[in-house]
Amino acid sequence: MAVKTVVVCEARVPFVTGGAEAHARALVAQLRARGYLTELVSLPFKWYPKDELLSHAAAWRLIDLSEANGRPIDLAIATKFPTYFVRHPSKVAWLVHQHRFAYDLCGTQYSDFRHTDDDVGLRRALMERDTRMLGECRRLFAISGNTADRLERFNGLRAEVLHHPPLLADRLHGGDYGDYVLSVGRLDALKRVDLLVRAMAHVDRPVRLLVAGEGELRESLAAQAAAAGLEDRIELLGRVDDDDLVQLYAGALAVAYAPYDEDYGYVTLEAFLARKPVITAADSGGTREFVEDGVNGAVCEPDGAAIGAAVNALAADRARAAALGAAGFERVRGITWDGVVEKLVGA
Amino acid sequence: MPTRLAWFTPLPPTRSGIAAYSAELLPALADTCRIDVFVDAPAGVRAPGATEVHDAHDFVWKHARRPYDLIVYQLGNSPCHDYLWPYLVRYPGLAVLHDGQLHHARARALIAAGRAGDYRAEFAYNHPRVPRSVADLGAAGLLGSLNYLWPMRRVVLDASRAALAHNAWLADDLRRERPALHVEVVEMGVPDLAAAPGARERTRARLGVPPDAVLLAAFGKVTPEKRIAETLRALAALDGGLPPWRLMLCGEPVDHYDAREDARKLGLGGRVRVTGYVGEAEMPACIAAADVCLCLRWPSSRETSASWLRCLAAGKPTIVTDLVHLGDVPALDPRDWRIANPPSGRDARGRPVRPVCVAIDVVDERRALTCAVARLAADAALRAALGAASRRLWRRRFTLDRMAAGYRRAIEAVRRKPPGAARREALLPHLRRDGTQRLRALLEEAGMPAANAPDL
Repeated sequence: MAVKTVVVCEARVPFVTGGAEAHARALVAQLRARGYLTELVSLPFKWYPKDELLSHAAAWRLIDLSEANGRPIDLAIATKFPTYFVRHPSKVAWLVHQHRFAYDLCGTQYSDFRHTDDDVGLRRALMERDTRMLGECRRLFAISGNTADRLERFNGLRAEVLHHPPLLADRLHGGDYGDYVLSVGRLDALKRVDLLVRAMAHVDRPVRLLVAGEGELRESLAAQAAAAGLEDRIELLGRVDDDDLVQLYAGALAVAYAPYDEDYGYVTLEAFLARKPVITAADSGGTREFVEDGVNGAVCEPDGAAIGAAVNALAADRARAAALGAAGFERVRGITWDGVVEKLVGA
Repeated sequence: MPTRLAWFTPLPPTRSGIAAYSAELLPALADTCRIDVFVDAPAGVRAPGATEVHDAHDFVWKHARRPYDLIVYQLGNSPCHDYLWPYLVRYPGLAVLHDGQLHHARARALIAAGRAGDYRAEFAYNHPRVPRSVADLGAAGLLGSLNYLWPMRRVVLDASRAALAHNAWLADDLRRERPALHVEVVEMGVPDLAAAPGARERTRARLGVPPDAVLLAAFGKVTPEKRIAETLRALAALDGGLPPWRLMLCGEPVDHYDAREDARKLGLGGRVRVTGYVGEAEMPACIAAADVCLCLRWPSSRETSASWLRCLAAGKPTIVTDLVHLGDVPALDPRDWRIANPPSGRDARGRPVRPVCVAIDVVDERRALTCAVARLAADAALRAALGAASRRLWRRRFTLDRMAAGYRRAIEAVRRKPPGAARREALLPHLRRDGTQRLRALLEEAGMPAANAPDL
């Protein structure tokens, strides 16, 4: 039966907008552009306290999305936890991530899951149910190889990798290789912008760090920069609108993006589409699917000195920065929405 | 196909006798078993032999993806074992009880986490006939050594597929408590770790032990249970009549007992040395340096002492507390120097037994210990005879290879048994939490009892 109506399921943290939200909205736009009657179904998500997690998952399970106002809903596309708990006879997942704090982040400084009765019991229940719910899907897709690897490793499920372009893909363009390195993204622990601030102490070239984005760590990053005597070389721009962001990419020497085990990393693709080399870290996850050391960027150990050295190297040789950026552009220019929607709908 | 084991244990660099035990045993098992070791935090941990070390967090998904043939839990009272309890009660396996009582562990873990209510509930579950007021004392931290009276093992025995003890007396104890539980006995073993040539002399020189002095030594944490205070008093009472002597307390001091201060007050300060923590690599040299090894323990929960076995392996004369589970080790009573174990002085074939150690009757401890120290400090021939007998006993019963063979046999015996017996449903609610409590409560609030909720 031909698919005509689609719901895209989104777990949205109120007042927060990031890559996952952009992903869901872009998918809705692309489905509509291809003639599908599409709605975005959002439920708010709150991951704390931990004992609320399964309640949020149950909320998706309790909703009947098989039809709306007498019209059958032909397909439900789940994105991140816990949307794939959705109850629908024809469900696919284009997985962004599971609840990472219970999965790959467990045991790291980023997760508060411990070896306690509550946490071990919850993780066991969560992983079993995730595997079952994802196993209900007709097909499984993942936004990146990193996400697909995690799904296979932890849940024993295989997903096809479907890359897609960032929201600004059609607007990004190259420009000069200026006097700043750009950082883009939420200011939270996983994004590790503090690493980039530490790196600036090792940059002996006249290069600044411009940080675009907001988040809970803004004040501590400002304090960190001040304590290191770097406040005149590091600028926290806060939230930047799309027009300004496009210009910032265009004028950057390079983009520094070194999160911890990122799922996918729009920033990498945005940087390459702006023909800028990317400085990332060896443990940055999804960025490593695109960034190759010495080919289109630098892959460093996750420490300030190594990242600072990479900045110095690019600042000393702008022609090389341009060449790396050009190679980055070639790497990602073929990532389009063509074929993505067809795979999801036709699965 | 090799047996696939999940093995929960601390490992070095964690400072624990059980960590050292697992590091020694696992390579011996890894030739016939495929072993994943699950630790609290894997940073800095080297995999013993052909095993793989993982964060215990990874057990949940690894076991879900491919269930292990058997899960083995190494249980002790040190905080380094706390992490494995949530797994033990959810994933039934083989519980190895190094200590016969686990009250210390549970009291500390629960009360320190602000879970006095759960401690009381577990105490009541473990000891249903004991007045609740005892648990109140425990929650207030007032039981101290009385913990030994209420071992709090029932949760482990009910949650486990089987148990393993290192001596028959503890095994019998466990069977009495849980007759339906499969209990294996595997005597503990230690490797033959000879000290390097010259280590004895170098260690003694470093400790300032005069060449003609008799060095008495105790090993492990310097706790009151090691009867250090009683040893110091025996030495003080004998002092003028002993040949030159020194006492080495080869372990970490503890907050609740200051051996150095005790020795100072008795006028022995200059001859008593607390070394601090000694790693497994340095321990053979410390044992080699000693002339007499003090392996006393009271109270006891019938645990087997690895440090005692290491002294036997090194061929050292030992002084032990006369405990029921050591009743099959030929021992001298120092009050009359007759064979105390067995009382007949003869083995099953009627042959005279050769004593291996000197056993102290805890009821008459002061006198027995004084007699033991006085004689062994002066009688080199007796020390040599006991040392030789120690080494023979180790070779016959307490080698690492023998323990590994016992483990292999026990693992296969447990694997062959149907796993069904664990009584999880009877366990306390806090031990069965699975993350659905809040969801069930919300459904109840909305008038939709959890039993009617859609299956997740």
